[in-house]
Amino acid sequence: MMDLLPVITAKNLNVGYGQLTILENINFAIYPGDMICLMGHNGCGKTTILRTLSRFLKKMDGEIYVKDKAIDKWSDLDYAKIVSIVLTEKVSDANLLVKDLIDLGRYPYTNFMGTLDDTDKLIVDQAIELLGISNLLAKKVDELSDGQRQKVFIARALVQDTSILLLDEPTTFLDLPGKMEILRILKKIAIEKKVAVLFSSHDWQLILELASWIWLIDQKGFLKAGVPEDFIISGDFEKCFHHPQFIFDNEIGIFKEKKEHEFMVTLVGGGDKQRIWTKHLLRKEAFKVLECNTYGYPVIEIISDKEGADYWEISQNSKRIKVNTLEELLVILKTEFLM
Amino acid sequence: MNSFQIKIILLCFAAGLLVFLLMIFGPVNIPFNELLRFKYTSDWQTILWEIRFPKILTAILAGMALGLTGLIMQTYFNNPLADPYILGVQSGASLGVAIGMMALDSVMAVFPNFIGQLSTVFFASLGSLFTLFLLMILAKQLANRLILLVMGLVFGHVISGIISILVVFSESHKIKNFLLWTMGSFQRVSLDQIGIFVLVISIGTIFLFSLSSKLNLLLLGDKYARSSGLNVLRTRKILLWITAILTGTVTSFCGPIAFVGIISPHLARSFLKTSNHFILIPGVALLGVIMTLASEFVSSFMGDMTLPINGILGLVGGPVIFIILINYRKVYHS
Repeated sequence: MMDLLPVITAKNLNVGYGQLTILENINFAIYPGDMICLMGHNGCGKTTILRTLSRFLKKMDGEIYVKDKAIDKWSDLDYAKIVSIVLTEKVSDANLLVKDLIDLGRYPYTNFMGTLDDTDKLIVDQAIELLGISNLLAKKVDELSDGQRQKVFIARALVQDTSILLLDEPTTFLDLPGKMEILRILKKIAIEKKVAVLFSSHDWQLILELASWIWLIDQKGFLKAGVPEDFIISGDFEKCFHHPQFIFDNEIGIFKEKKEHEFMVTLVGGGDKQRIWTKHLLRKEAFKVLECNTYGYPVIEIISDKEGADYWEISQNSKRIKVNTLEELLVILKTEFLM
Repeated sequence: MNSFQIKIILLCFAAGLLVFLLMIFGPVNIPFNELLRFKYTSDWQTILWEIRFPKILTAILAGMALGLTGLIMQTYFNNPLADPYILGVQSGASLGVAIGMMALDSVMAVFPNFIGQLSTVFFASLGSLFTLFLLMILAKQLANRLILLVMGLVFGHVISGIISILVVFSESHKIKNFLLWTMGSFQRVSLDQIGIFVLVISIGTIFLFSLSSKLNLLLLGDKYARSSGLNVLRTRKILLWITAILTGTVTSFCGPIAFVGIISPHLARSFLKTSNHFILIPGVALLGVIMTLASEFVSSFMGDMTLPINGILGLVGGPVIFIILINYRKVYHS
């Protein structure tokens, strides 16, 4: 991979808008086939970087090379053949058809009449197939769900046949399967089409699962590139998204609300799944969960009956109550045992 | 043949039918079979060639140009209610004509008819260009679509104010000429004037059609358009010029004509079910033509009496705009 030439190189780059410099002294190189997720807290400059690379904002200082030329030396039409974008904003036109929208991606390559030749049609068909949106072509853009719209706009950017694809928070507003599908598609584009993909995201857990390379903008405004797991080990990630009321769970890689433990209970028995989620609920509701039986605190036992169904039994001294759901467990625990 | 082509042909047929009706009916009815025989008496020759032909051609040109300027402005400002009349561009053209007719009348009287007509077109285009230019600057400052419409309204009133002051200082025959002009009519263009009208509108329309894919890109918003390689600023400037010239020309020949500009793009979009300008431009032009021909037909069908075009268009157009507004509730909530 390293024998390829980088698509974009930045040296000592300062980005910002108006008089305001947001990020200073950034250095990076993006190669064909890279899939990079840009992460950082709100307002840290993710969008500013993307906008500078899309040429909506002028760089404040430093150098950006796109292929072999400085970024501002390209004509609009030639730049459109190197960089394509997917934005967060919606298109307001109500009657625009999906197929027409995707065809518009071929604008830099077609004549003034916008007629697609066989090559153009082939590229459009390939993009439609890669994104699996052939069933949406006759619909209006207005009628699409958030996830479908995102795919259609990725297809539009893809038929622009560029070396790099910039996406501003492509997974926002989507449900979990939707987010995962978009990330899977981006990965596919990077690997199969050898397109560099640079996108911003807040979906840390998914990124941890699916991305191999991220750029993290830390609290001080430094851009660090690396493997996400490294940032967890070094503690950079926790520092970056630090919030006094949350702590970072190093084991599963998510932020959890800090709890003052008010009550103590003992939890015994049960299979892995039942145990983990009982514990999860109790922790969320500010119980401290003890692993072994301690005198003076209620004991919760997870029991499987003969048919394999699970139930919970709460006991303290001579009192013993059986419940069938965690919801019931919580109510009984609060009303009967913690009076 | 795809469904778009069928629909466009249907529209052509409707327009053709209206042309036919306008040829036949009028204060003097010319029987259908006589019309096709091409052997006319000299009276009929005069009626058909010197009265009805320029009138019909004027209505066709005006309908095309007004519909298309409405379409451009709706795409340009990303506003379904934009059109040259509502945004005060026709008022700007009126101001140009008013200045030409009332203030500079003595200067213009020196020139022969052709140059005189051309200078009215010039003043009207200048007036609309001025208004459009102000609107363009304001639209950049104010992202809100409703405020843009209110601004257009304010423009219209400011310009009527200026015109009313001009009226006070003018002689009565000039005022009468001007007031008749403001009522809107397709009947004032004579055969020797119509050449310049045809020339300007057809060049404008063909040029506009060649910009179709650029207009399509503008539908996506400036950012997507730019990142697709479109020189957005230059395209917008060109569109501004075309709109100004088309609006100025139509307004100077026919007076300010309401509602055609706003309604025909909506009719075209809901009939053709697309936003693609390659299909919309012919569709909008044809629907504009159908609207002007139909209103001309109603206006002259009354026998001896001729109703003002704007009166008829207002009665039909008002309710249609009301329906459009209800349908676009969603757009204005966002």
